[in-house]
Amino acid sequence: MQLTFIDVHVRYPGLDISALNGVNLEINTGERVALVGRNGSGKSTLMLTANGILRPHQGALLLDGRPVRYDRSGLRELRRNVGVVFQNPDDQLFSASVYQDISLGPLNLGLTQAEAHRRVQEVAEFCGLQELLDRPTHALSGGEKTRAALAGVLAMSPRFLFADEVTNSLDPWMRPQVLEILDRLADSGCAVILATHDWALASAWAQRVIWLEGGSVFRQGKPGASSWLT
Amino acid sequence: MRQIDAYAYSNRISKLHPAYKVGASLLALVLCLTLNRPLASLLILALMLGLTIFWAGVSWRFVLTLLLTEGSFLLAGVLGVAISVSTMPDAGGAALGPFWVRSDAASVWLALNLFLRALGSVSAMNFLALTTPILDLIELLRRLRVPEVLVEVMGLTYRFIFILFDSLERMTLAQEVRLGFGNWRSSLRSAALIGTNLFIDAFRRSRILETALQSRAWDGALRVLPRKYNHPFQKCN
Amino acid sequence: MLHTSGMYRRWPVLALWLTATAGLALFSARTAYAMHIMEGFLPPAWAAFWFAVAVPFWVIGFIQIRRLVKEKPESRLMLGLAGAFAFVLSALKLPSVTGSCSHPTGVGLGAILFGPFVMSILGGIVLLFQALLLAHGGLTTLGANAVSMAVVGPLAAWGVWKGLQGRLPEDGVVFLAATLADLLTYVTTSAQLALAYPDPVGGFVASFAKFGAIFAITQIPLAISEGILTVLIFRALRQTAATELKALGVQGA
Repeated sequence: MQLTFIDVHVRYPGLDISALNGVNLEINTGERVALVGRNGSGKSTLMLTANGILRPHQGALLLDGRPVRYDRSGLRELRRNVGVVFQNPDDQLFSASVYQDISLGPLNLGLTQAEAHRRVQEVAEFCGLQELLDRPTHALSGGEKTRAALAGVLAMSPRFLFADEVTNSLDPWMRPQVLEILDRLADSGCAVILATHDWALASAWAQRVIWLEGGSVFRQGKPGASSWLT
Repeated sequence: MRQIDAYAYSNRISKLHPAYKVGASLLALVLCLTLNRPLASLLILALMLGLTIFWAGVSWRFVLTLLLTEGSFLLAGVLGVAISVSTMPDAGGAALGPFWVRSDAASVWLALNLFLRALGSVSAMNFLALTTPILDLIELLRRLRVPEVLVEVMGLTYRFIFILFDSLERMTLAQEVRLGFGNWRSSLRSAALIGTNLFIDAFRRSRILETALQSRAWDGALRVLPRKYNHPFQKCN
Repeated sequence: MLHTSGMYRRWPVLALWLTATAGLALFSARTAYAMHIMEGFLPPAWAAFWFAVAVPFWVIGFIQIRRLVKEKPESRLMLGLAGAFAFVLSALKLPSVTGSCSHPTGVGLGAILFGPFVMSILGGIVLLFQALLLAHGGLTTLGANAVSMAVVGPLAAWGVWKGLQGRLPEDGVVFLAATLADLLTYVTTSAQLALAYPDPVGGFVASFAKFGAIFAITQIPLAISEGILTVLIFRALRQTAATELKALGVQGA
């Protein structure tokens, strides 16, 4: 499966300047991609566009070669396949219980309760949350919250996962745990796109680094390759 | 607040179906209020304290401290029942400035009864608060067919209380290190500043959360799976 | 100054005044919560009566909330945050004029921002959580507490806000609304206690004065503080959060 951005321009309502200025990008399932760039370069906007929260006013977003439809069922289809983990897990965890929070996505997709329960158990195991399912969200540590937020998105079994600086606020002990989950996810065939300020992490972890500047792709390529500098 | 909440989800009987715990405390409350006798109140007080400390395994120090605080509130309240005040000179009273204060055995007895009754009821409510996670109470309301919108707003309120409390603590600390609570004027100004920022923070969060929910294919209702409980006489899983 | 007509009457009076002083000292530390009628304090009939009084307001509030959520699904998030805001506001340190430290009720601010009926529901939820998380107030007394704090207080604030808007400077209107909401809340609480426990000699009136006096010492300065606080917050919100206020439908924003 492929997620394709073709000359995507996105403008925030009420603002004149575009947040994305003609982004051309192809992302394939199973890829490990790092998204780098300074604050305001368009990383978050790109993620919200990929998920259909923001709609391009020019250009197109293709899922598996077909343009995304922005009606109810089209958006549901897009969000089933493209998940976003936000920077601050407290902005994402709406439910007071971990178990219930994770179950929101699957139920929104119209799965039965039994199926949703199975999904919750599955991702809880995947993210190491089995013991924490009954815990109130506010009683989790920072790393646990991040994993819970991640699990809530993974329960929808996306093919593309955008993670917005999720490793930034984690301490050096928690970071490898979360990265390890992302690695396993990529190995299972999901594309993982990690936005980060950390160049060392980007070049060590990713197969491809995409550098955004002023709302468009400034450079992209294999980290460390000579073509990177030109 | 965090301590009560922490006991609620970490005590020995936290996974027990909430209906049993709610039933027990409501029964105790109703008995305490309707029997309305000091001895009954004392028995209920002892029973509820026992259940909280020995069955649920909540620290006795914490339970008693909580009860003591509540008792001191109650004391101020029953005071009004124990004494009579009037501006008329009163043969049986004592003069206190322009007022005549009096009290008699019946009033004191009434106040004592009231004090014990309230203390017994409070211990029943403490049992509920310390053993039952609020999540379970909300879930129970959902199962009792309380309208979904109310249940959702309650759940969200509970979740946000802790988020906003974190913000409040951060902001208060930030003001304190700048001596924001030095005197009355600056205290009031700091309080207003914190209140304002808290409101803006709450509003901003509701916007971001909406986006985050949309990204999970949310379409209006907050559907989640029901929680699972243990029942007495059944092996815990 | 103490005149007594017999030794046997002297000791209860003295003892009571000693406890009174001690009680009030403990009490003024957390005055806002002291407006809550504690669990078990009301006889069953009065507890039920106040629930019955609160119900019509809850019904109207519920209908309004349901309509709001139907039109804008995302407003349930705002409602949840408003409830949490009211809860957390009551934990804010507020200096009282007397020098002690207390907590605002947020009743006036809430009513201006969200309207009195929505506030009656949110107030009910907040009272439930205060009973369970803070051990202030109670379950059987929830109806009575809701009437004073989530119905009478907000209605007073809202009435002042609607009635005087444009006739007085806005700061004055906000101050009056918040202070009056605070005062009427405690007047209601005193009346509720006096009705349940009338004075054996002076009846309801004497009892009302008695309970009122217990609250008045701490509540009047607190009400003034809260009035000033609400003015400051409202002024700041006008400047920094005008769009948010408009989104909530606050008039004149």
